[in-house]
Amino acid sequence: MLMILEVKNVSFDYPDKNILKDVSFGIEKGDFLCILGSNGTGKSTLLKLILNILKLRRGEIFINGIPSHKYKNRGSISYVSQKATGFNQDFPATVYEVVSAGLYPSCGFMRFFGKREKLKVYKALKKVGIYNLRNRLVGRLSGGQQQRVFIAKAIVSEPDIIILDEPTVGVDVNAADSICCLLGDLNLQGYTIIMVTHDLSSVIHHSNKILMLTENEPCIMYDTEDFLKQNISAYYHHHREV
Amino acid sequence: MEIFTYGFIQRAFLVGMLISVITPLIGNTIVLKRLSAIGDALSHASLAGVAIGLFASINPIGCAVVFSCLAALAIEYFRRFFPRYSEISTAVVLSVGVGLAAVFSSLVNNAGSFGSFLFGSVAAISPRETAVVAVVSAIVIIMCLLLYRELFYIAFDEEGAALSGVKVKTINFVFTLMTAVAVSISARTVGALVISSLMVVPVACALLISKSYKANVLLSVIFAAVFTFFGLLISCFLDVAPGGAIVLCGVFAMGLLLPFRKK
Repeated sequence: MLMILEVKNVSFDYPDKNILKDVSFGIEKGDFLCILGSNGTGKSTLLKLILNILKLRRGEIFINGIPSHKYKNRGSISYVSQKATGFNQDFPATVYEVVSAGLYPSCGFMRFFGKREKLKVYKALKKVGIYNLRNRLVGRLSGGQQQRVFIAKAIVSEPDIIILDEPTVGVDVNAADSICCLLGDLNLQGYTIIMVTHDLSSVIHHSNKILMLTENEPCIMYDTEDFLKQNISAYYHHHREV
Repeated sequence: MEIFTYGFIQRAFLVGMLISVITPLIGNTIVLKRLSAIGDALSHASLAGVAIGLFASINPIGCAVVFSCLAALAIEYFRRFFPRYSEISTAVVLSVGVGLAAVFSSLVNNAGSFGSFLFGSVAAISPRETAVVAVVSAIVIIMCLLLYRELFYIAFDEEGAALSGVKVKTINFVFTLMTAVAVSISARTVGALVISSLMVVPVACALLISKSYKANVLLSVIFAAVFTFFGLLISCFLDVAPGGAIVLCGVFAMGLLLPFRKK
């Protein structure tokens, strides 16, 4: 089966520090991959390399079999950044307006939205359960609700892969569980999900693969069941136990 | 109503209304990107252009457009040297604009003519200038409509916009040049020292009560049109500088709106 994402022998270093060393893994369509690792092991860097935000110097990344730097179908990969909820909270944008911005990759430059686009936005809002908030100012919502807005923005263009960088940071435990359940539901609907997280306990029962990044050691890919059996949390220094 | 029978008054109101549409359209993006000082820097650069134009006896508005565009490019250029202090490049360009304006205005024989560019003049607008403002306004309005989604996305989340394929650098560049041209052509009616306020005050009023980005854009245009209309009326009847009257109308309205600020 064709891997939807394949990372081969990727290494990356910043001027003062080696971050990723010979990372290789692959995921298939419909997988839910959690990327774990303590601070500074290169989780966010790996996402940025996949998204082509950072330039790949060593190794190769293939998306649907195409090298990532040649992959032009931006609408097929959506990204919810760690800073998503760090926007200007007084910005006068409604939930509808923010989510519709996610249609840009599929609509393109200088295009107006029609009824079809409006229905797509409504569909995405309903999928994440915030249709009733569509006319509210996004800055007036709670952290958990805002994160749902950004997930709706990520899925509105019907991407193949959704990449999330710590989407549960800064939200309370209940909201974090609720966001992870939502991601689990989206995964069951066919979305491939890649998620960097520290909040393992909320997400572990929804993911099927786990990639462990450790400083100066090769990365290890687990099936979630194997990961749980090996009780790996014993040496994974984490603030919440699995 | 008798005043509207005069040609120069008709031109002043026509130009004023056109400017009141384009300045908040541009001002929305500038304010929401927290770059309000750029309007000041560009208006001072255009003032330097006016002073040099008057000194060299060439078209002052044309000179203002050229200087303002050069200032916009300079802001982008200097920003590379201070990536974490982007406001420094704006302040440097503003200082150069003030310096050049001060030096060349003191060399200009007709001080009254230069003064009309500082705070605007109802009587000074020629039919040719009216035509130029109309053409530039049409271009700015069309560009802002065509780039509506891109400008929204860049103002809300520049990194996310770039990731989604929005050509952020190109659009920012085009937008800055558009701002420079709009500031320069507005100098005659509203005044170079007041134009940046007209970009900010109507948007600030709209921000107090608007409940969406679209409403913010529309409200800021409506506010600017109302402020400009009453400002020009006051200017005609009391014989005061139109730029000052327009901005004071705006600030007064903002004071009235403060208690109705959205929760």
